[in-house]
Amino acid sequence: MFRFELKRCMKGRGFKAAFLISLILAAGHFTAFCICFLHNEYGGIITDKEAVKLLKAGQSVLGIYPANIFEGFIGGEQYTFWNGVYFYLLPIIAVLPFGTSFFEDEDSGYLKNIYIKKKKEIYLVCKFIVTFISGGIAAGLPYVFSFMMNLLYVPAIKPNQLARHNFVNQLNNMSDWYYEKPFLYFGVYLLIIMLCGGVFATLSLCVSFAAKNSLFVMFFPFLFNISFDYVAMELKIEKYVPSNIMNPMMTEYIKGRSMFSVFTEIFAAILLCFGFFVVLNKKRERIV
Amino acid sequence: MKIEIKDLYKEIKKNVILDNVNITLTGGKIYGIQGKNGCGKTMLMRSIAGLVIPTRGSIIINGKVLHRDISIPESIGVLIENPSFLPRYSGYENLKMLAMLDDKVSDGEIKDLLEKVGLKDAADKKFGKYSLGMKQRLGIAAAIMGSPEIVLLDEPINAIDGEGVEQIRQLILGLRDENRVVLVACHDKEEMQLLADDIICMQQGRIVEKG
Repeated sequence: MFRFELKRCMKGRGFKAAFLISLILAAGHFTAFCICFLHNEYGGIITDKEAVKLLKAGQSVLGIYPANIFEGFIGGEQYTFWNGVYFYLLPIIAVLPFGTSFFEDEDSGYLKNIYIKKKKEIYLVCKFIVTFISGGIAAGLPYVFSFMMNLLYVPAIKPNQLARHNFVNQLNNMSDWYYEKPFLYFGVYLLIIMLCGGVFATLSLCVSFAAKNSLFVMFFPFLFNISFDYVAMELKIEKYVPSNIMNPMMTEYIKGRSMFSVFTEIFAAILLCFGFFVVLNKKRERIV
Repeated sequence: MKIEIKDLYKEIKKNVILDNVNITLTGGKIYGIQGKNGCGKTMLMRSIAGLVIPTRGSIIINGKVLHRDISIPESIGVLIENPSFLPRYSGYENLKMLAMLDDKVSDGEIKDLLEKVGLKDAADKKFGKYSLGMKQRLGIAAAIMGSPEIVLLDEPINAIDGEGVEQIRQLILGLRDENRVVLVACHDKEEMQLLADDIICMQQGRIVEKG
């Protein structure tokens, strides 16, 4: 059953769409940051070539630190709008590969073919796992693609706080990792993004039973995320908002929260989605 | 193979769909069900397939109580209402995907099956582009794939052309086997006479005539 669902997911148009969108986001960021911004005199940071140019002109480069990859990819800077676009669209990207599949299976009657061969619980658990994995991969793709693409242009040197052109300061969460072990910082945030992407994708499964069409299922996590963001802002509980947890540039909003509490929140959300989807649908009778 | 249905009662939102159905189906026979639209034929098939849980009563398959000893019949193929498959996969790929769930059917057997139902030339065509008759044929192929012990066919000749009806009739008659129960629902009385060994008439959720 797991192989069956995985094959359906990987061969589906949704996965290809998520892949394409990831490439577009990465390419868009590359163009905006590496090609346009870095060469803009108002950009505030310079490339190593520009540093050499200044030196040759007899100007000092003391205190000027080159742009580096950790502040030069879609998850590392907010000079361009691409970081915002990525995390804004992330819930939709996560749902694309397989989030609407349960709704489509039920609505079309395809479930008959499965329920006569496999127990309902097995199907539901496999559906959940594959949707979670596909959502996580889709959510992480732009982050990874942007990093790899920009690495062709921007050097992989450690960020320097004295350079004053990055968005992470000492008061932010995991700032010591950002400056001392930036790859680890990148890796931890990739994990968080993938887990959150998985949660968004499975959130769409949870609302499938109440939906009348697949567009509602696809956009529900996106709408939920925006609403949660707004409500949390009003109630001053921004530190629990997924957008702030996932985005490495929003660590200021989760100041004071330990990574343990962040991961606990994420795993609680996973368990909630699992319980809601599997337990509810096991008991629910839908005539297929 | 023996299916015993005892006091089967199914109610949905206070509508009685099946009303104390009692019947025993044994292997080696093709049973036909007849009745007007809404009389409960399809719900009876869904109940035997394990797709719905009865409000009351029991279905016993080879001595095992459905939804108590077993969740689903161990070997069953169904064609209930509109055949539904993955539209972006071909007929062959759809059967292959379903065969993956059982691991009992080889690629060669799938190709033979498609030939038997008259879909040899359309095997590589996407299901979304199939005509209604072709979809029906694929549904029959899926229902008999793997030689299941219980075969439930709801209006199998629906939308099939004249030549195809004879082909499907021969296919269904070929399913007669002492280890297999075949249940066919059909509106066409003449077709039913040709296919079925026993005919069950239903009305308002009840069996009114058997034999």
